[in-house]
Amino acid sequence: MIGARNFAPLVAVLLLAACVAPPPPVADLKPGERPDINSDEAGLWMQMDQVEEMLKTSGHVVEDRKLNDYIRSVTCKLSAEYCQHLRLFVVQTPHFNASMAPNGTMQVWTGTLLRAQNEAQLAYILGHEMAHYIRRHSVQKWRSIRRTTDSMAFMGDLAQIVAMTSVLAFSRDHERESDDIGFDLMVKAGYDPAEAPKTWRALLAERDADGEEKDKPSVFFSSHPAVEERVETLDAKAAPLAGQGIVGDKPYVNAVKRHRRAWLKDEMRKRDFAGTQVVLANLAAAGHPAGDIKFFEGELYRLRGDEGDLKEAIVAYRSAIKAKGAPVEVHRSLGLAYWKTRQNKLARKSFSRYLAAAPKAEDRAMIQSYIDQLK
Amino acid sequence: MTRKIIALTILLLATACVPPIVATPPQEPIKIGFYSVTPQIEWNRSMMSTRESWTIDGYALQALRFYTVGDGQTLSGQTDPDGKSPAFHKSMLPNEIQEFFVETLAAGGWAKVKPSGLKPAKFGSLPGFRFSFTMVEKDGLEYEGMALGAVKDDELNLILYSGTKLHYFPKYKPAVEKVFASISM
Repeated sequence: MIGARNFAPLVAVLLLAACVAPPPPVADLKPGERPDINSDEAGLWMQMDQVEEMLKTSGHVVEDRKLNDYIRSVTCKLSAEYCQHLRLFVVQTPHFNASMAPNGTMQVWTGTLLRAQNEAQLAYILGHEMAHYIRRHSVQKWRSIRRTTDSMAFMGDLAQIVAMTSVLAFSRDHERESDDIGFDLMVKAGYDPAEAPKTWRALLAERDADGEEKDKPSVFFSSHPAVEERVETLDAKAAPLAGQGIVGDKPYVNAVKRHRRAWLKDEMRKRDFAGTQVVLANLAAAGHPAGDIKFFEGELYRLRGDEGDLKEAIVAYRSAIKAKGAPVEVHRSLGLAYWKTRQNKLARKSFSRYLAAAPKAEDRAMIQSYIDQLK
Repeated sequence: MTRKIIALTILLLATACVPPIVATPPQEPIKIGFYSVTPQIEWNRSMMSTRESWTIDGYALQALRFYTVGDGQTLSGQTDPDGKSPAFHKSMLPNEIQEFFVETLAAGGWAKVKPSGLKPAKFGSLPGFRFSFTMVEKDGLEYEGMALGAVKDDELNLILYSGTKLHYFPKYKPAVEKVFASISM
């Protein structure tokens, strides 16, 4: 809480901040345009070119041509003239994020791809990132930071705090603008606008899944417009047009199916079990195979290991086996859960089923030794 | 005088943070917790409270590490009260220990961690397990590794050998196999 003693300097700083003129407007980037070599923007591009070079050899980049081609095709549906100047990198990290550098390097994190439920939602996210590029938000932000911090350099910590608040507020304006433009691009490309707010609604449900986390907003939530505000704005924009256009659930589920299990394993490693339950429910609703989703639900309980979780895991694994699409590892996991709850006969049976279903399993010798011990 | 004492104190504190590196004399047993190993060649050895590490060409190129992990601890021997870090539990079966190991590497920033060949193996006279793995460093360099482990008195004992897939891992793999085979209690 700010006391009366600090109030006067704060007012002075705020007045001064208000006096700093906003940076001159920046025109949209034309397709294929590069900044003048002597400009500050060219410097930003050069730095990002270096980042891109590092990204090219990063172990975290997903090198799957089919997946990359699919995401690129959605980008090109949004804007054929800009998409050829963008370079896409799918980065294997389980958090929700995507980013766009001023030079056209676009990163889409696998945590985002796991959370998008259909092509329309992916189109909205990609449209949002393209808007940052077209509107040259990076250079706008860079110039804003420079102007604000230059004018406050002679003042103390309080001035720095106000300066940073100004920078974050500016970022929120960019995010709002990108939301607007991204929405318009997806609608123009023929996607169902009702899917745009659903992207944020799912993120909200995940954030609020664990009551304890609700009071501790992440950097993402503090530097972006309130998610509630984004949902409200997009709902209002989508209402007159909702239900019109492509949702594209089947093509999307098909495009990500080869990676779903790897991404879900990464998701489990976050150990945000309440949030992951929301992710699993959304995947089930999006049409991913029930066997796969139930298997990972079982894995979640087994890894969490709270009281009663092993029993829950067994129920989920058994449902996975009954449903379609469960991986063969479900028998191994069920065997482990049975053994740890002292149901040795059932454990042996499950391990035997695993070996019968996967005769060349890499851990065959270990599983055979479990079976021998359980005899 | 005071300045000299301060400088000496800083120097002593700084050196206290860096584990000393000594050479392992070949053919001589080295005691690690409750067991000993006998290297056939000379390694550079650094010791910390929860683990010790050996290398020949440098830890970024190849490393042989010996871990002792208690119930509820992370691989580095820490206790995580939030439960957000992968931890060893005494009830874990070898498949789950392998899973714990993969999770630990992934949480440490390694990409594409892929274990293989989990099988029963002797850890000295103890029943244990071993497996191999591959992984990619964040800048794209590929590594290969192998692990031998056993649980005794609710503690996980794990010996890990890893190195760059090209040259350094294969170079000392036979020497590490001899270290594995030399475990005695």
